[in-house]
Amino acid sequence: MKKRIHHDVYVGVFMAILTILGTLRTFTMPKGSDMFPQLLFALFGIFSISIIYKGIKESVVMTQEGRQDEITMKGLKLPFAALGIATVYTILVKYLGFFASTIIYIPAFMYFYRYKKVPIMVMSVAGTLVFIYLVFIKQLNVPFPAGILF
Amino acid sequence: MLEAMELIVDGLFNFSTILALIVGVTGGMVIGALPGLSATMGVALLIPLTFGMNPIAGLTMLTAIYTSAVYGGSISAILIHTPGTPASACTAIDGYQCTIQGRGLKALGISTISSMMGGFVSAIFLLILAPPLAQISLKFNAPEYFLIAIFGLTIIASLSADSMVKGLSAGVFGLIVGTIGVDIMTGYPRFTFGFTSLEGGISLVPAMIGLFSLSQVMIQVESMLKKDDAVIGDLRGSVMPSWADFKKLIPTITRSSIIGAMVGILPGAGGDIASWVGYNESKRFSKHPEEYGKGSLEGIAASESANNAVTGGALIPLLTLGIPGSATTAVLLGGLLIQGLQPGHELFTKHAGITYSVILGFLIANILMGIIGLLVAKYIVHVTRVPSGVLAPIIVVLSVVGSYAINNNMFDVYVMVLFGLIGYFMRKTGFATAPVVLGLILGPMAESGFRRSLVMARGDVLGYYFSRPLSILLMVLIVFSFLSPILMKKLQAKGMVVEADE
Repeated sequence: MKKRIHHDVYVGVFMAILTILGTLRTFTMPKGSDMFPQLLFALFGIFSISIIYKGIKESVVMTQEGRQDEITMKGLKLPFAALGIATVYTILVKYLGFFASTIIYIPAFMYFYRYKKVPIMVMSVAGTLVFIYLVFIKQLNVPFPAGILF
Repeated sequence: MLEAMELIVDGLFNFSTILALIVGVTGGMVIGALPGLSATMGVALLIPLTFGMNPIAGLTMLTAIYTSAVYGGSISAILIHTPGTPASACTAIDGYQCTIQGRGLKALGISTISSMMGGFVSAIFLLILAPPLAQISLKFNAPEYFLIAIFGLTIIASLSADSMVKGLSAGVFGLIVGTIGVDIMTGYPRFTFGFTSLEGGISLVPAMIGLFSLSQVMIQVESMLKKDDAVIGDLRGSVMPSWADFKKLIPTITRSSIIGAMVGILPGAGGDIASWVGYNESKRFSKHPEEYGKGSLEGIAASESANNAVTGGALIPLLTLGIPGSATTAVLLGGLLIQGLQPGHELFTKHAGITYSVILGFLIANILMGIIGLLVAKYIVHVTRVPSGVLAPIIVVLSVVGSYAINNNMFDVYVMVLFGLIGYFMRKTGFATAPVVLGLILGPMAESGFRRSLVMARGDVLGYYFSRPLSILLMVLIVFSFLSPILMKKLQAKGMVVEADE
């Protein structure tokens, strides 16, 4: 029988690691500043144990039933790819400037989403940029990064 | 008094506020009608637009988005059997049956008028109940501020997640994130890891946008390969119900509106619970309970008036005590703080002009929502046909712009991306994201209240807390909030009985 591990176990372990690292960090803080974070990490640690315990119980049931966890690496691929594209976009904003990177990002994301109607792509880019220009630049005077192109 | 009236009239009836109302109402309806986009996400995404507005126009727009998005959810629920928001899931039962029977427009008309009336009644509740309740906050001192923050957090955490422990963990996580930055009492930079951008703490708006908007895009991407086969039903007849039809619905709408407003006042109980309770009670009182689930106009009126009545009800604990009644009001609290307004008695004294203008603006937004809804609802449903592939990148761009605009700083954009990732994993693993936002907002208040009360207690902390009647009341409420999931499960079970019947 293949052993299954419920996602709550991973979440609980992650919370426990965060608790340990956070608590260690509070030891370097002056008296007074450390008290509230220590209290919070203590609570977080207790909750992490409870979540790990629940996760282990779920894992046993999953193993017995031969059931897979609802979160799989395969299922995470597309959302992570989308996040990756968005991250690259935010980095490009700094170097290429907001408008140039948005002109690249919107069609690129649409293509990734398997949406290939070029006129709609062009209209989406133009509509979004006009809206942002009128509201954020003209109205709110937000100075977006210009980048190397402008 | 006369001065305040003048301020209200001036604040409400000017070009920018009227424009904000129209944008808020139509924008909210569109956001609500789009399955997957919620009122919370709409408010989070549009908060940056309010930076440059005066507080009346900005906050009126946000409350208009809130109420209109709840109504907008019913449009897609009735016409394509896909609830735009969880609050309109109940409406889909009878609404879509009406569409199949060729009465879709009639159902839409009933839904519009019921939503408008529910929202209107809740605005009246807000106008009458909020000012006296706000007086309570005058009696608050350090221990009460600490306890009110804990109460707000426990109630929303215990009700907004599948598991209470997960809800509370999310709340504590928010509080931990709230400790990042320079400690105002000692000046020590906590958890900043040398980043000067973190010394002011994590910016609220980028965190909210990441948690609600970017994470939603990631969730939508999961189903990008699935084929969308929703078909807009046949639309015939008039959207305006006859007087005879409407007359029969008045008792149902009145009852459900009151139920909705009361449920809204209970922190943590949202429009979804209210619509089921309203629907169930309406069925109990109905002369034709057998029609429920088969296209009953009464059923639509009951659920729609109840879920919109929640909006005004949920604003009561928010404006008076700073306790948000739902995820959307948690985000609205952020919008309030950004405008420099602190919930409590000052909202009804020092800032009375702004507060009453916003409440009256909310009331007008509900009426406007009814008028615009009757005119354009059948067209708005076509917005639901906009492919996710087009919407998703635009949401990401707006998320980046909104996060950047708060401090004109790219660091906030990276914070938004990080919180998008955190929000996605939280939602996938059964953690609610609203308590994180609340923890982030209430964290500083909780900590300063806690530390100041320790000083004031002079060693006898328990004795000090138990010597204050308001503190005792708040502690009782905190205990109640731990027990409330049981109560809510009973309320939901009541609703589920109706669902199972159908």
